[in-house]
Amino acid sequence: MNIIDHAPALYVVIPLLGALFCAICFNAKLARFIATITATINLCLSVYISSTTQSYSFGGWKAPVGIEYAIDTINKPIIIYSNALILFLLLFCHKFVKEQVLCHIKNNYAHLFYAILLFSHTGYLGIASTNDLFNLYVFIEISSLTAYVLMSLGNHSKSVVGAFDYLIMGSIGASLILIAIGLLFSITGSLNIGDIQHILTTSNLYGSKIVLCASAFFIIGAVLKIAFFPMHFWMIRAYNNAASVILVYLAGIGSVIGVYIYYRFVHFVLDYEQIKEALSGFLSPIALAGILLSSLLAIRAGNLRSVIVYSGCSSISYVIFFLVGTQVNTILVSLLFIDSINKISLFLITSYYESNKYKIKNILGYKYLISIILICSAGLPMTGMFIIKINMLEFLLQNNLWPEFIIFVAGFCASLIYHYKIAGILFPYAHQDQSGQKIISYDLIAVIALQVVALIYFDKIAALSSS
Amino acid sequence: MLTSDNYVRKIIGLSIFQSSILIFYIALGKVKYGAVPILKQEAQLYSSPLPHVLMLTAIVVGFATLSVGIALICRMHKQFGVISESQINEHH
Repeated sequence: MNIIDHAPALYVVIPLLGALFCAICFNAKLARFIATITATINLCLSVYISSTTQSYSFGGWKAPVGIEYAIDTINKPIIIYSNALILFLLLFCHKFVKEQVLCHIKNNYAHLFYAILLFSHTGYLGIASTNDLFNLYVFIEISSLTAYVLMSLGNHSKSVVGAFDYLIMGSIGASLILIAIGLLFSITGSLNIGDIQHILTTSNLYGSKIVLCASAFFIIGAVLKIAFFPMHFWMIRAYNNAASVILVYLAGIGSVIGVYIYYRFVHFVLDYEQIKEALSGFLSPIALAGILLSSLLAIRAGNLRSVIVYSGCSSISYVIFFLVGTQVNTILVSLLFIDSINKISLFLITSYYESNKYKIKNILGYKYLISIILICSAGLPMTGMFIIKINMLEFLLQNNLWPEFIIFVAGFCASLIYHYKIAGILFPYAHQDQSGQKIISYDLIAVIALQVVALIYFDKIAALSSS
Repeated sequence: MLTSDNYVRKIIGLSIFQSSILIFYIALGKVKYGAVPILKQEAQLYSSPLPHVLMLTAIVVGFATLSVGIALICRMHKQFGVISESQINEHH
């Protein structure tokens, strides 16, 4: 039997085993080494798999009976991306992990940080690869439980409170998803995503109140997890207090996975055409209000971190607008991807800003690096975000959506203003006292390189969705 | 759960909420006139055992959530000396 045939399961099992070894090695350096090796193997494996669709049944029990993992064109890029992200965190951000997290943990427990990080990674990869609804729920819980722990680390006095808020809201969201799965199970008797869609279509059950109820529960649960506008309070509190290096990982992957859960449900469990009208009528206005309000709050926010968190909120609103609106997946995928890179780079800058040891002024060529990152994130010309914004506006014009067009333009203007504000916070601060050892910041350079790659292969990223 | 000021009460509320889902699932598994799902000679019709199995996992998940929540409350108590939301917010 070829080992590659087991790949969908291996993606999940390798980090799980890595987490186990990290937990029992009792040495932080060794744990970091194990974690890096695990992430590298996983990344190589996920890049190496060439076939676009692959199905794996656990224990030889075929699909509707057993648990099935499936790799297709939608979740494969997500798996590669999340593997690359954790490898980036382990290789480049180690100085911040040490300063912000490990310093505040007792030496004998430091290795457990890596175990939890890998365990969280297991959860995210599991969500991406599973094709079974109950399994999806279990992985959602695994990733959230570890995220609560990761959020509570660090030296902010209120990080524990933020993590607890996240725990309450996250558990409610997951429980709503569990209720939805139960309702779907009660009417179809199956937990396999493909099988449920097959039964719903052949028995024409879409009109049934139970299915309606289940979709409502699931969508509200998923939206709560994405931290979409009216339910975003947990995110504000948690992200404002967590260690910023943790957010490089969690914020980068969280929104992508949240949107993936939503997308998988409405397109693969339900028939999207049937619920499109109701959903877009309900969620689009909220998304538009979210764009305006969170941009406004970002402009008014007091410190660097709040600006970034609110800007994240507004970008989620853009994503949701295109997610529920119409079938413009080309914009959606590139928006999600580039927005995720932007969040990573902004939280990296926050790490430098808040750090006592690695100050912004000590970075070699900090003016250029930070300017480039802010330009990319603000969506000025010559960046990926700019192309996306032009595409969005073009799409709105083509469909004669004038009120939406005005709101989007207002949102883009606001984003320029709050990026100007971020620059205003960063540069004067960095100018004071030029002394100190210069350091080369490989992490910022890597992020910029990623932005450039995203720009060069922009068409390919956008084309991922069409297949 | 959402209105209580005391963090321990919040976590208790969450626990009750999750347990109610367990009962909902187990109710789904009941088949009318179905016997306990253990292979027997005289029984023709069995209740579905699958929801029970699923709920075993959900119980573990609920237990883990409860433990993480209580651990967080412990740390909060160490840090602030109180476990009431309003008092912690006053702290800063």
